[in-house]
Amino acid sequence: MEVKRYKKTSKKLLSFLNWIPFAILMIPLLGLIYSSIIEDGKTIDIFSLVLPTGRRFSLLIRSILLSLSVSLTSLFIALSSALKLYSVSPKNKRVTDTIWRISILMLLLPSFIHSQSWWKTFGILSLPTSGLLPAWWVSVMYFLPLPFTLISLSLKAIDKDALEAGAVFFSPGVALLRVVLPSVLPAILGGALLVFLLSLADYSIPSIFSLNVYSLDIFAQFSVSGSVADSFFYSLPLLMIASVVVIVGLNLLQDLSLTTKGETIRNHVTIVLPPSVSLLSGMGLVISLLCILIPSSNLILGMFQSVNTVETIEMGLSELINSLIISSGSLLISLPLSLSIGMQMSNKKLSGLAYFVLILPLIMPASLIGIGLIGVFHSTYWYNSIVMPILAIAIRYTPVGALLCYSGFKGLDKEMINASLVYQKSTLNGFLKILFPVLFPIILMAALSIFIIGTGEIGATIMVLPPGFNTLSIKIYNYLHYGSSQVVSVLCFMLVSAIIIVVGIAQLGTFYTQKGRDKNDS
Amino acid sequence: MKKLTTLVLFGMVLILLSACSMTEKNELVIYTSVDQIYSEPIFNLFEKETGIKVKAVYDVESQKTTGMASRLEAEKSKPVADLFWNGEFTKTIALTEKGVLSDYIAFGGRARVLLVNTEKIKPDDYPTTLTDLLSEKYQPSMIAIARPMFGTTFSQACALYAQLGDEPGKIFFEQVKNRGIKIVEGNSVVRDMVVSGEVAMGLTDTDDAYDAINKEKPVAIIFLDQKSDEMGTLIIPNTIAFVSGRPESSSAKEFMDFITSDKAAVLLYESGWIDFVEKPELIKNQRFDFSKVKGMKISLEEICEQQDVVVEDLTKLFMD
Repeated sequence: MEVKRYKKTSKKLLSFLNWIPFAILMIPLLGLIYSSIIEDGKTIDIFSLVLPTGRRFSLLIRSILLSLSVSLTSLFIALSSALKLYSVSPKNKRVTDTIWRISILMLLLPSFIHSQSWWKTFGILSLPTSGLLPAWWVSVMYFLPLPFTLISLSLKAIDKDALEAGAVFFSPGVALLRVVLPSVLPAILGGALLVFLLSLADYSIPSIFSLNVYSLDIFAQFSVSGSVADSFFYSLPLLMIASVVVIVGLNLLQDLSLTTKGETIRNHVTIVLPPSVSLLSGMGLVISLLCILIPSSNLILGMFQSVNTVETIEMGLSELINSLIISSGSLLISLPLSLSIGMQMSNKKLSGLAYFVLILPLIMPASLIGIGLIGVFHSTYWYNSIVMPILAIAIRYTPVGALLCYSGFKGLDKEMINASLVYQKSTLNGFLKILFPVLFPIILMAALSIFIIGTGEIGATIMVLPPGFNTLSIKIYNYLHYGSSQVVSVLCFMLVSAIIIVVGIAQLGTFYTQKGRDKNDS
Repeated sequence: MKKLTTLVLFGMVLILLSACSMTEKNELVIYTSVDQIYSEPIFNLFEKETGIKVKAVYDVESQKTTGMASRLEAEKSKPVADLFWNGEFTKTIALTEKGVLSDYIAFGGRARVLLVNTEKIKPDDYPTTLTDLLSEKYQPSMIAIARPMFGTTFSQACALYAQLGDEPGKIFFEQVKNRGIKIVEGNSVVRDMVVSGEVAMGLTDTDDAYDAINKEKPVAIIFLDQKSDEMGTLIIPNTIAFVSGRPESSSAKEFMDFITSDKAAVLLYESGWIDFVEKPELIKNQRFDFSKVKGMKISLEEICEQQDVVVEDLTKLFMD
């Protein structure tokens, strides 16, 4: 009887704990509601703000179509290039690993750098430099590293036995369709969803190429009205559509039954591709390499033009340290939240409301997240401290971490894990010996993504930065406006180098964890 | 694993420790929308001269001062900043009307100018008035302006409405749109497009324009509407205001005096942030004789009164 009551209580406690991450994601919204209430006696025409008609409706449709095409194109390129990478001999393992690692670092460069580099390239090639086509292409190039890394990691963890069996019993084409693709499907869908959401929320690239999108309209509305409530209601249609897409996408993901073996990321598989697919994926790989080469060559050229490299490094050092402190702090908050939400999502279908709350921080204009946080924490003693930007970044990018964790968990062989857990002495023992090593690659991928994307965040951070405390990304944007490409190149180089060091340390951690596991196994 | 847990806990403790409020006596919190590259040296000099520490919060251009203004408004009940130094005036006046700021002062200034690429257009063909941009003489694809709902282009639109009246103002921008003049992200993009020759001319501010001149790019600056019967060009002053609700601070007053002093005027002029100072005799090597530039004869308040109607018209026109 006592045990039963204990179980009931712990179940209630667990279900309460499950809601905590969602409650944290709701903080900016609560702050916005509070800020809206205290907006001086203003009456809001909610109906006309929430319901997009005429111009706004066509803008909304355009934004959705643009994000869909960006998502699908980047996914296609990511998949084909990842397949090409893993169809080469294991001897070239280092080359393949290096390519996707450099690729994810590209996310660190401000979107303006990508846009500027491609703008110059379009000019040289006499291609259009404004409108839908260049905006679409640069968005694809900017977001490509995310699905590319996700699929590459998924391919690394593919079930080797199934792959070998597929190679024996099927032709390369059939093996690709029946074994390889289903195994990486969670990563494909997860990547597509992430790119769709991030592209839907982004207006920086479309606006540079003179293309109006709904998120830019929200910003324009906020800029001219200065009303928090108006802007929030204005952004609701985008939020609702994004929620529907996420729910449909995740339901598709829930229905997938095939999984990878949950192996560690040190494995290197060799996928055999049919000649036609090999050619296509070769082209995909070339495009992925361009996504690295075009912005980085632009930066390197800028570096060589710089006359005061040492002085510039000194000038940006304290901001770099600030950026790393804030990103690390936000990672400490965001990672447990992402893990918790990711696990909940992989265990059961969540309600529509939960999905809405999850994507809220990603789609909501970044400035509104900052204002929401001001509304809630303005009177607290830590308001004027780095806790605020840490919280802002953590909340904004937890959805990215959660979706990455979810697509990773979805690819795990749960039956095998559960069977292994049965033989463990305690839950803690099971977590440390079975779950943690299996989850480690997923955790690492989510952690690095949150850290890298968070380091470049500006919109929410700038609203809550304590006075006298600046980040390197904000400094870079300031110098971008000044047109000082040399200084920007050096500062971006600093940021990328710092992240490489952090990634290197994480890589060492992976190596030693693996070494420890091997020792224990033997 | 133990080491990892210790490391994580250590990190959390570090963050909590640094979470303690960082305000001290003898320091000043200034929010500024002026680019860090121009405002930071001023703060450093003020610190050096007075011993008062300046804790600044900077904006970025992509936020178009909106972020900073919204932050000030959100903090209204318990303000953090002592002063707001704005690179333009519309947000300052709007925030003053809302009671967020008080006692603003306008100083210095940048002008709206036409930047032309000297390799693309001959001096005899340079436009002389704003309405020349609508002339058939100039290909619309060779002209660029920044989105007129934001920044100083928005201020110029409001000034045009105030000068010409609502309807003529609206017709001007309708023609800008109908002609197919290039609408781009910001003034710095206009400058870059003119410099690269992608367009032959574009409207921008003097600070952006002189940046191109200083880099010896093939460009020239045209002040539009300078004849006696023409309206003149918009000169956009910097503004600085006290944040309402903050305890009275001598340091804030000291900075206010400093930023409006002759010394700061020379520094801001030499850095390229402003091109107009109240006392021309202070500047030995003038980039141009700014005493001869004809500014629009219209008050900042009158310009600001146009904001609502301009927003409505331009959002409909340019966000489609």
